[in-house]
Amino acid sequence: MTAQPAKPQHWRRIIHLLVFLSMLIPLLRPLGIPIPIGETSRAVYDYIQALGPADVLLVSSNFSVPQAPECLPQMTCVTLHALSRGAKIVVIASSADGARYATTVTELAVDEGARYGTDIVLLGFLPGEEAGVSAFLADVHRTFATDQEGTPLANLPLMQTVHTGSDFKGVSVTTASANDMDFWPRQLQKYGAALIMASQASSWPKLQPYLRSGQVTAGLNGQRDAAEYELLLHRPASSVAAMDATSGAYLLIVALVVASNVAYFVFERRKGR
Amino acid sequence: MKLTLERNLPLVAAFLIGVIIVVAYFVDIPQLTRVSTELRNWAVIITAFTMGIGLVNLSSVHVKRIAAMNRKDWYNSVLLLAAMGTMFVATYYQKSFESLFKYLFDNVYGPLGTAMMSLVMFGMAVTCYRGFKLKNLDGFFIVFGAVATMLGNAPVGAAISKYIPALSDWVYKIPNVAGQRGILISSAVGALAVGLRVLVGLERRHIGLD
Repeated sequence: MTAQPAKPQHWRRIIHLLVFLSMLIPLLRPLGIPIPIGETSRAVYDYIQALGPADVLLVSSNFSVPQAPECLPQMTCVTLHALSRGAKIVVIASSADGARYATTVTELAVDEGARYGTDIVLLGFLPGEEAGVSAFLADVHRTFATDQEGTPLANLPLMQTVHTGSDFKGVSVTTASANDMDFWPRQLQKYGAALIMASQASSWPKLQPYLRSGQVTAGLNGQRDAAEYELLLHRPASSVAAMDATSGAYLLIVALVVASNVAYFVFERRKGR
Repeated sequence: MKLTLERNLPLVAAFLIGVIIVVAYFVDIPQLTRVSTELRNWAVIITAFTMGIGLVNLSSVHVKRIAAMNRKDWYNSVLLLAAMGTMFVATYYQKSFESLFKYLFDNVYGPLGTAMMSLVMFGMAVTCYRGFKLKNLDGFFIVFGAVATMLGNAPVGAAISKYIPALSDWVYKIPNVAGQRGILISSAVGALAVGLRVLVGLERRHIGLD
């Protein structure tokens, strides 16, 4: 007697339950799967490590709430690492939700000892996507007359040295939008600043041509690279904590693909004959 | 005259502004660069206005639904307007309502948005189970690419075999880049053609003509 597959109306619920358990169990009882440091996170780390007190890094927050678990740790790691090297940071946001996360990162930096106005400045939300970025890089003070709190840029020591895109040593863009990957290299190339792009894992394939051509200096791939960066900084946080759950979920999906193909070859093709 | 102004003025404006910005990009003339920068700042202001327009439009649609009361889910419109109004007040008057804004964003909006995104995972698992079948050569490539990149994106891949991260990297860097470059180049050529058509006035759908 041959085994029969499960009834079709229950298999979705079974899969949903398995997915839920594959993520819940590792969160409650961490498996401790080692997280090797890859070349992509190492490349970003090395670039930020080479920054110094004379360098100004532009950090742009371009993601929304659903992408925050992946993107916020990336932006936090890059910002705090750059500040630890003595670099100065100017923070903007190109998405409405990103403005809140830009504020979060700035507050965290100030809590860790950065001096607002001298080490870090939060300019706020920049509407207009590519047109906005183009205007900003052409003339920073014309696009932002004040910072997010309303302080005139003339009163902020850091902004006395930043007037155009040429005054930035590097730009770090944390984004979930494939559109950003097209226009940031396009707009930044005439200013000569290096471009670091931290993206959601689903946008990582889109970034590859720009990485291979050198238009983007280095990139971070989703939560995995955020976890590796946290380990490089010796500050394990939410991304490291989520890696076991990610591994469990991906392993389950591979098992489901194998199971569906076994079922296909054993049952459906036999039925077809 | 009015018909001509409605028809021709936007086309002339689009042509002049487009030419100024394109020429300023390639030719370094200080006066032209100043004009180009100012025009781009105007674009920033106009984009900011569109957010206000969206707010007004959304409010108008849902107020009409509530007023009509002939839809059985009119109470959803009440909830939407109440939530939108609360968040608007908390954000606009952030200095006075700082703790309310932070609470609503970090403890309500954030978790809700993340929860909605996480539902994708369940659907994706079902799709992978149903769709990734080795029926033919195309199916093999899809399954191979998906499994390689998934395991490469999690530490478990390196734990299973040291070759899995390398395989995942190969998929991203070689076949993916080849495909992405084809798409990028073709979309860039298409964008160039559309841009030229808008500049010379052949493309007029954006001003409600043709």
